[in-house]
Amino acid sequence: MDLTIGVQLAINGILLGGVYALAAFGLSLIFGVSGVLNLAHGEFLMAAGLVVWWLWDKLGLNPFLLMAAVSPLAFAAGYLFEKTLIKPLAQRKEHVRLASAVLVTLGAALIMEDVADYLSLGTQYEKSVDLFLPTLVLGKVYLPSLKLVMFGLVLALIVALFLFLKHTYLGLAVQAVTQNRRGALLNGVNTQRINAIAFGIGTVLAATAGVFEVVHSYVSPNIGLPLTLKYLCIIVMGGLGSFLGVALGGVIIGLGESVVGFYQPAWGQTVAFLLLVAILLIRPKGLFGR
Amino acid sequence: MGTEHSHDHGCLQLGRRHFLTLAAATAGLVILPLGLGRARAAGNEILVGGTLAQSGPLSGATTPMKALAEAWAKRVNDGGGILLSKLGKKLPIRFIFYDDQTSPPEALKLYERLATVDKVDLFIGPYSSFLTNAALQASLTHKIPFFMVEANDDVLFEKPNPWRVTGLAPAATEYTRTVPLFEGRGDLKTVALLGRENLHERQSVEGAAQAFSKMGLKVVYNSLAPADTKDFSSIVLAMKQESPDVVLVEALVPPWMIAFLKQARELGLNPKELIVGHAGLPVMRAMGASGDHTVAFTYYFDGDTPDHQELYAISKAVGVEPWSYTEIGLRYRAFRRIKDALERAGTLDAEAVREAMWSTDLHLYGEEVIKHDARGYGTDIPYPVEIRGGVIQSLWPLAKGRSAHVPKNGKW
Repeated sequence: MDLTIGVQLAINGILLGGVYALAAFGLSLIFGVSGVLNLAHGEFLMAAGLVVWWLWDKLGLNPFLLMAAVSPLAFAAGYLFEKTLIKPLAQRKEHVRLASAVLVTLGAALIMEDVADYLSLGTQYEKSVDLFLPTLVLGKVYLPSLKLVMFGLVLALIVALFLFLKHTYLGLAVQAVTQNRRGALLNGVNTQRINAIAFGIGTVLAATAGVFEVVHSYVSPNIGLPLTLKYLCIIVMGGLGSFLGVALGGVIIGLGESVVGFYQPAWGQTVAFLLLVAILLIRPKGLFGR
Repeated sequence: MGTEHSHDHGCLQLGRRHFLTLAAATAGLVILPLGLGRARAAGNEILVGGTLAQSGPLSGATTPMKALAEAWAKRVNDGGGILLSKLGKKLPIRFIFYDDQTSPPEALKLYERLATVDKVDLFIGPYSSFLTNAALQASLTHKIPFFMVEANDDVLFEKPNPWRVTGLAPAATEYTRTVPLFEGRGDLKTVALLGRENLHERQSVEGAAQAFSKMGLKVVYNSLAPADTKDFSSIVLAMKQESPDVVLVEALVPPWMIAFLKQARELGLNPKELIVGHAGLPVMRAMGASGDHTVAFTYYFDGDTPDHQELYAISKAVGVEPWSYTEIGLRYRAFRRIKDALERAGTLDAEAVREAMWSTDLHLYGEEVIKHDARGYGTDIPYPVEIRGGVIQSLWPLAKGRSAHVPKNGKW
C-alpha cells in the first residue's frame, strides 16, 4: 500500500470513528445511568437526520445550523421517551425491568422505523443533504473538509460533555447515579430526573450523529437498528461505563472499517463484530472495563 | 294440538323457507351486480395490473411511473383505445398499481390480488429484478401474461415460465452501447468499476468489465459494496491507488451513488471519464455543476419519430423530462409492447396474448426492432448520454456521440 494512501486511510478511520464514538457516548451514558439498553438509540439518529433533511429541503438553511435548532427537540424527545416508556418499568424486579426495557425500546424502534417509512411515501427513501466543502490538500494527502468540520464538532461536544459531567451539579449527579444509584438517592439526588436527563443528553448526541450521517452520506428509515448494534459493539469493546473506552472503541471500529473496506468492501461493515469478539477474547471486560 | 303443532311447525318451515329464499335472493341481488360488473369490466376495458415501489428503498426511482402509465393510457383511450380485431372493437386500457413497499413477499401478495380480486388481463412488472422474481409466480399460477419491465437478470429465467418476457437484454449487456463510446481513445488504458451489492448491479458491472477488457482497457478495480455502505472513503482510496482513467459506478439507488460521488470528489479521485449508471435527476441535482461531462444512459435517444413524440408527450403530461428518471424510456417501451401484443392477438384471451407477447417484432424510434430470444429476454439496451449544464445530452448515434462528448478529464 502506498504510504500516502495509508495515511489517508488512517485519517479517514479516525474521523469516521469520531462520529461513531459520539453516538456511542449517548448510548453508553443512557446505559450507565439508567441501566437501560436503549435499542431505539439509532432511531433517534435516523429521525434527527430526516428532520434536518426535511428542514434543509424546505428552508435551504445550512444543516449545521439546523442541527443546533434540532438539538433541544432531541433533548425533549429523549426526556419524554424516558418519562413515558421507561419510567413506568422502574418499580419492577431488576430482571423483569431489564427484559421489559429491551422489549419496550425495541418496539419503539420498530414503530419509529415504520412511521418514518410511512412518511417517506412517494419520495426518495434515502435522504441526503447536498453539502460540499472544498477539500484541503496537503501534499498528496486529501483531507475531506466536511469530515474535519464534523470531527471538530464531535471533539467540541465531547469536551462540553466532559466539562458538564465534571463541573456542574447535574453532571456530578449523573456520575453519582452511574456509580451508585442507591447512594445517590440517599444523598438527595432525584435519580428519576437524572435518568430522564441522561436520555435527553444521549438523544442529543445521537441526533448530532444523525445530522452528520445525512450530510456526509444519507439517512433512511431502516438504518437505526444496525447502527445501534454497531454502537453497542463500541461500548462493549471499550468497556461498559468507560468514556475513554468508548472513544477508543469508536476509533478502532472506524480504523477497522477503513482498512478492511480498502481491501474488501463487502467486509467493511462486518469488521465491528469481528473486532468485538477478538477484543473480548483477550479482555472479557473490554478495553477499559473494570 | 298435533295439528296445531304441525301447523306451527309448518309455519316455521314456511318461514325458514321464506327466510332462505329471501336470503338467497338478497345475496343474489348483492353479488350479481358485482359479478356482472366484473363481467362488464372484463368485456369493456383492458385491465393491466402491477406494483410499483412507492415506499421502501426503491421508491425514489419509481416516482413518476404510475402517472406515466395513466398518461399513456389516456392518450391511447383518447384515440379510441386498443383495437382487438377478433372482438371487432376498440377497448380502453386501464392500469391498476399497488405499492409493493420494495418487498418481494408483498409484491407476490399484490400480484395474487391483481389476479384474483381485480381480475386483470395482463401483468406489468414491478421495478427491479428481485421484486419481479417474486411476482412472477403469480403469472404461472394464474396463467396471465407478464410483461417484465426493469428486470433482466438471469435468475428470472432459471425457472421455466411461458407467461413472462422482458423487454431488456441481459443485465450483462447493459453497457454494450455505452462502452464503445470510448473506443479508439488512446488516453484511456485502465478502468475501475464499483457496483451496489444487488442482483442487477452484480451482472451489469461484470458485463461492463468484460466489455472494457474486450476493448483493451485493463480492469484495475472491480468490486461490489454492500447496499448499506455509507462511507466510501476506503473504496475511493483503493481506486485512487490504481489511478484509473475510467471510473464506472452502478447503482439503482441514487443516494448510494451520490454518497460515492461526493466522497470521490472530496478525496481527489479524478478520472478522465466518469460513468454513472442510472443517473437521473436526483444524482444530477446533488452533483450540480461538478456532475458535468459525466456519462450516463437512458432508454431512448434524441429524435423526432412518432414514438419519440409520444414519449415526450406523456413525459410532459406528468411534468417530468424523459431523462429525469432513467427508466421512463423503459416503461414507455413496456406500454408499447403491451399494445403491440394486444393488437396482434386481437383478443384478451390469455393464451393468444401470450403468443403475441413472445412473437413481438415491434419497430420503435425508426431504427430499433424489439424481439425476444428463446428465454424471454428482449433487445432493449440503454443509450449513452452526457450530463451537461444540468440536463442530459444524447450521445447517440455513436459517431455523433464520440464527437459531441466532452471528457470529464478529472474536473469536478
